[in-house]
Amino acid sequence: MAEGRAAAVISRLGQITREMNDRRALRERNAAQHREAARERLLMQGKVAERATQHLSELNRRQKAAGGWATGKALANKDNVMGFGPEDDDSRQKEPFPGYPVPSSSVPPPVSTAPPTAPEQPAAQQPTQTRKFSRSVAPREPEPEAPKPPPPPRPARRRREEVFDDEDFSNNSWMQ
Amino acid sequence: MSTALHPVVAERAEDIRRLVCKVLEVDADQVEDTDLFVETLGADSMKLIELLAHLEVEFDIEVDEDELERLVNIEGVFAVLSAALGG
Repeated sequence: MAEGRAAAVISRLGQITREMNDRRALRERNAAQHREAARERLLMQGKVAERATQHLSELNRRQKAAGGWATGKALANKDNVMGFGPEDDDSRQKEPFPGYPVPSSSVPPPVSTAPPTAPEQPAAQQPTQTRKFSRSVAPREPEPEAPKPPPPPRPARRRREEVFDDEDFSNNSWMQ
Repeated sequence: MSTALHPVVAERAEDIRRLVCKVLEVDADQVEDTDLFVETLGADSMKLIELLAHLEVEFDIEVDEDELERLVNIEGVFAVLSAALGG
């Protein structure tokens, strides 16, 4: 009787142990699957993030190349942005005087060695000789000129302020 | 769409729709192929770049950034993928 009960208990324990082992195996298998799925998702997200970063960097580079404008026209004409046409030619820019012949020697132009001319001095006044003549041969002294009559009085100036009209251009003095 | 779909794109069309809806965080049942991502589904430029990156990784292809202009709806996604896959 007791042996039968013990055998039943042992059998029941073995059954429970097997069930627990099966459950543990199932749990471990599910965990492994989830770990693998999570790892793949993480790798996928890493690749996606890397690609997205590359795209963002490329878009940023193109925007900067287009002068900071992200419009479609600026990005489409990125080769000509900030260009100045033929003036962009480097060979022309290297010439000091583009379009003019370059002298063969690099001798600097001659410098004038003549001393600088002194500023002209005003002619020295010659001392006047005073000759004495007798009264009979003495030259006649010129008679003093009569004083000129005073100039006629000029007509009084018109006051420009009175005739200037901002609205009527035909009246302005500079239009007449 | 006037562009012929690549066989791979035609075969995985449902996966592509699911991927687009997952990236744009919208319900797949309420999205039509002609629904505009930005105007209708409320996506922004960052979402479109993320979608482009997802498509590149999923199909192991490289797509130029200029193709973002064509990623306006699911049909545009099909066209871009078909062009990238050589269809």
